[in-house]
This record gives sequence, structure tokens and C-alpha cells, in this order.
Amino acid sequence: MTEKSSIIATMTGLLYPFVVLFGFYIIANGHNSPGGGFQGGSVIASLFIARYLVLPADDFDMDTLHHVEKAFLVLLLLLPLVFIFPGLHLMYEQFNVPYLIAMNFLIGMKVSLGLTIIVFRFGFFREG
Amino acid sequence: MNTIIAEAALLLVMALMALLTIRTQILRMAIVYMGIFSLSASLLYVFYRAPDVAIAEAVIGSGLVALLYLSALKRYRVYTIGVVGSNMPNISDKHILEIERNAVIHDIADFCVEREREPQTVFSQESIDEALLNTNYDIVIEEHDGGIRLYGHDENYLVDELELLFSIRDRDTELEVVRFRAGAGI
Repeated sequence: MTEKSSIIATMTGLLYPFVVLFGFYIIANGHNSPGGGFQGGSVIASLFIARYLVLPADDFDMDTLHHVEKAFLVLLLLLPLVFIFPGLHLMYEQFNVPYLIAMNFLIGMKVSLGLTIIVFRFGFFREG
Repeated sequence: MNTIIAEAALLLVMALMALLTIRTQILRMAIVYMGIFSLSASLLYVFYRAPDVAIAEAVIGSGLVALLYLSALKRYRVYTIGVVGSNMPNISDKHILEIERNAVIHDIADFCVEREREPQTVFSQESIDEALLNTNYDIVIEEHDGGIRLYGHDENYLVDELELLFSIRDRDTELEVVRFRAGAGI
């Protein structure tokens, strides 16, 4: 895994856009077809991890990733508070589907960031 | 009817992969077998009408977990050298120091350091058969009168390099490399 393999690098580069597209497709259609935030998020996370396989470079700012993930968590808690608690989902039923998609999107972002952080922390862990 | 056959085949593949995972000597292969196990499990979830779970299993089971294990394997660096011999009636510290000064063990330890593995020497009184059967040594050294026998697993690629190393260097002591296969005797 330390030496560079041009086969893996080329194939990963080729698959990159399709993986992104597939991940967002799973997230966006999660409310009425198989999939959802968690599954799509882990597909997107596998993209960052494939990048780690090809190029193990520690050029991510982990602290920023942590903060962004926490921000997504706060948004994830705020959105139901704003939409469900005042009873808006009963008054404006046409907004229910956008609400579900938004929730799935937030979950997907949080999951992908979380899994990426886990793998990168593990991959770049140095003893001592 | 066809679904039942497909399910049975997938379950059989899963059982086979699980067995291979625990039976193989090469950890890298075990990770690959586990990935195939996860993929068949996710296909099976589709047959059980749980496509949500199938997607999660496919991505996490065979993607993320395999990668985590691979990077953990990169850090697995302990190389266990077992030293056995019937001429070790009572092991004392002095005796162990004497053996550790032995040139062959020194060479193997140096070789391990060179290959970025941490050598760990285990001394035991068990016979060579017991040592090969019961414990997880990467390499077993047996001293007998006049020479040293080195037992390595057939699939252990470090043993090949060790043999090459010792065949290049001239040695006073007679050294013999014995390979064995998993499950078979010597």
C-alpha cells in the first residue's frame, strides 16, 4: 500500500465523479427509494478514503472538518425544531418532501465527514 | 424456486468465506475474504427485501472496514520467533542470555528490524511438534546437536528471504530450513 500503483490511481480518478453522483443520488432519493442519508454519506466517505488509498497525503485540516461536522449536527437538530415543533408540517404539507430531502442531505454530510475523520485519524495516527 | 437456490448459494459462499477468513495464514487474504463475505451478505439482504441495509453493508462492510483493517495491518509489525529445544531442561535467565547471544537469532532479529518488524522471542520447553501445532509462531528455531533447524510456514514469504539471506552468508553452524504446510505434518 505504500508504493504507488498507477492502475489504482487511474481507476480511482475515473470513478471519482460517478461515486460523487451516486452518493448524492442515494441521498436525494432516500425518501422514496432505498438509500438515505447514512448510505449516501458512506458512499461519499468512500470517495475520500479512495483518495487516501491513492495519495496518502495529510493535507486535510482535521480541526476544520471537526467543526464543520459539528455545525451539521447543530443544523440537524435545528431543522426539526423549526419545522416540526411549530406544526408547520401540518400547515404547509407541500414542504414535507423538501424537508425530508434536506434532512437526508444533512445526515449524509455529517456521516461522510464523520467516517472520513475516523479513517483519516486512524490512517495518520502516529505513536508517541 | 430460483430465489431459494440463489439464497442457498449465497449462504454457502458466506460460510465458505468465513471459514477461509479464519483458516488462512496471510492476513491480507483474510481481509479480502471478509470483503467477499460482506458483499454476499449485502446481496442476501436484497433477497430478503432490505435494500437499505444492503447498501449500507456493501459500502461499510467491504469498503470502509476492509480499508481500516488494511491500514491496521500496515502497523502489525510483531514477528514472533519461537525457540524450542528438548535440551532446555530448566530455563533460567542465564540460559536465555546465552541463547540470545546466539548468532542466528541475532541475524533473524536484525533481519526483522530491517523489514520494519518488531522481533519478539519466545522461549519454551515444548517439543517442536507441540510448538508447530499449538502456538502462533511466525518462525520456530530448534537447536539440535551441531546445527539449527528453522521451521517456517509454507506461505510465510519472509522465510524465503531468510533462507536466501542465510545461503548467501557463510555460516559456521549448520542451518537447515524446513517448511510446513497448514494442517499437514512435517
